[in-house]
Amino acid sequence: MTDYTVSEIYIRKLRIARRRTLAIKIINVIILIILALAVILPILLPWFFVFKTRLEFSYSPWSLPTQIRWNNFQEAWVAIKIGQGLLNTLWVCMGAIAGTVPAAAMAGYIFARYQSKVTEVLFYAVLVGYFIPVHMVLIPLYQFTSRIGIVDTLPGLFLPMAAFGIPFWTIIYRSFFRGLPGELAEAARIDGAGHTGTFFRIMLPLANPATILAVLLVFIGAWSDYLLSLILINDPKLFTMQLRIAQFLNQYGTDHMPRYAAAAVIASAPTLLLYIFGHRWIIRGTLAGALKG
Amino acid sequence: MLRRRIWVTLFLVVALLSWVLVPVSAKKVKLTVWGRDLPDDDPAHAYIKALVEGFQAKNPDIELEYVALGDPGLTDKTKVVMASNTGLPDIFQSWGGSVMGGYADAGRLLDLTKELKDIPGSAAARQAMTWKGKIYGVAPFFAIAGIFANEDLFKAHGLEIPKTVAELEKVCDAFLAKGIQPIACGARDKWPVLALYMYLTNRYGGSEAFANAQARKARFDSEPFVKAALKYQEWAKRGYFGEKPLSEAYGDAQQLMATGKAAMHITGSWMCAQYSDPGFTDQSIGFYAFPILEGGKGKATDIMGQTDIGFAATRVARKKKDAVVRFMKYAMDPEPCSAEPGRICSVPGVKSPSRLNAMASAVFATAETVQFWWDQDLPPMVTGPLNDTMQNFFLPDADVKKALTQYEQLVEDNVGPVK
Repeated sequence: MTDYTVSEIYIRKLRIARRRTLAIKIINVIILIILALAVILPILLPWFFVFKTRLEFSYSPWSLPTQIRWNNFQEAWVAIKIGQGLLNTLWVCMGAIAGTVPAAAMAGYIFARYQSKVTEVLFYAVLVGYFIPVHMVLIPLYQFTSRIGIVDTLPGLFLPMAAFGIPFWTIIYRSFFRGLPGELAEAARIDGAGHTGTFFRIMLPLANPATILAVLLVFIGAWSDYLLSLILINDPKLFTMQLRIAQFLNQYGTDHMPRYAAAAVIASAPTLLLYIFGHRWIIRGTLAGALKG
Repeated sequence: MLRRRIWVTLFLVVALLSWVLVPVSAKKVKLTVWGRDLPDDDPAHAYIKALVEGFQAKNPDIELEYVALGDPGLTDKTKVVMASNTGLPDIFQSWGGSVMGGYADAGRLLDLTKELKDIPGSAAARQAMTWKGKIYGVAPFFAIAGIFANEDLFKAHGLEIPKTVAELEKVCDAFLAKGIQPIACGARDKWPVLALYMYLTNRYGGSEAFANAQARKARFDSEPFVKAALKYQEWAKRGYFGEKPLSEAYGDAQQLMATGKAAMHITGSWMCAQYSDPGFTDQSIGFYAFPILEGGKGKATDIMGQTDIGFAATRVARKKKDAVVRFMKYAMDPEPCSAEPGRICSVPGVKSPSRLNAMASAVFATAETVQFWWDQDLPPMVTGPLNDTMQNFFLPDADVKKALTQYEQLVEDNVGPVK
């Protein structure tokens, strides 16, 4: 049996601890790489297909293209009238933001600052809306929008989107406003500001990180929506981006994968750009407490 | 003076008539049609393009609004508007069968029996768009299931197209030995599994096997269903469908065929357009009837089929029945039908556009019994679970009989017990 001195034992333990730390680090990095790939791959994959002919895609879908061909982009743009789809989607996104963010901010502020039994009950009533899946209410929603005459209009699409978004963003704003010092509102009131003035001039500007986060995420959500658009829009002139891309799909997948991939690349570009330019706001909003329970 | 009065009166009459008649004649009937495919330059969409453009050109008094919704967009949206009973289109693309029957039972469809009963077309296609004796639409194209075989591969390895199930097994073993996947399936998408299972069940139990189970005179775990499932599982274990069949989607199966990596594809004749398109494949592919099983009850002339493209009219179109009937008749006209490069046309006098299509049409012409694709013929609430049940065939240790018994239980709960 080998005898170890105290310092040798210490060094050995230190080495084991270092190795363990290194192993944990490597495992963490591997997990993070897998998670990152899950997000990055769907963005990269279409680029393997977009420059290929159908035959080239059949033979080697995952290889690099032998030649850069832009015609799939042109053909996709013309075939499904992407330009019109982009414009409609932009309107829907703006409408969804205008319908969701101000209402959620005001409701969140009231629930955070004016706590009483009534507001608590109201808050839980709003919370219930968050747990209702869209699929469950599609038929009554369609009937309701038909009855009030807004089906097959862009407001008829973004208003339900806002209705489904308001509960979630109310919870977020409530938690954000609760994190702000109440003394600020009291000081404003002492200085003569009313409820409205306190909210708009003092509290709302302080909630900017939450607001920017809400605007960006509501935009991305509305841009990516397929189901509500499919059910609530009938007129092809009002088709949104996702509906236009779905026109390429059939029961068997798609007849022209390279063209479908080109349409998907065009459609995802605005949200991707928005995220690239706005990611610092999303991170700031998250860190500032907007998404903390 | 009198002359002047006559002229003034005449002028007033003409003015009045033009005021009354011009808006009437200028007012177009608007016909909204929901379809699946885009009317673009894709060969697989050639018929839809010809139909939309041709109908509009020939009927200037009708404003045709064709809305391409893709799939599952078309089926999902149709389900919601049918259930809501609001926002129905005038005409929608339908595969007929029990799904269309459900809409007819709910009173959503327009009975066009009188107007469409004399339109020439195949009996199978007419049957598909008929529910409880009433005709609700037309099916210009009808698909049958069969074997797409890579003829170059068969020739290169000295193999013959199989005529019996035993020969099919020998051919599959030979391809396996050469490192070629014998059958492309696309089991990940679930529904592609059905074509082969329908044929195997038929070949074991004859056309009455499914008919009896559907009419609740036999169980879905009776002998022909179980034998067919066991055969399927045995083939999966042998590797006939590749090493990982459940990870192969229908699109992957098409690619395997298109590139000569798989020798056969047992599926619907709707693939004729793709498999005869040199832009999609450079292989020589043929279409053949599914083999017979020696000692089995099924015949080579028992064919599985379904509507490939069909249209049904809804009750909202009852006030524009004339326009609807004109659309239906034009959909069955040889002019747009001739544009189709692949599907089997139900309309007499339309020439087969390709060798592959002619082969599929020839198989269809031999049909003595046409069994509708089960998922079009069974009530919708039991078709999804059928697809899930068939996934067991690809699991080597799965008890397929038990899976079929569970499916039978579900059918009993939803449709009724065996009488």
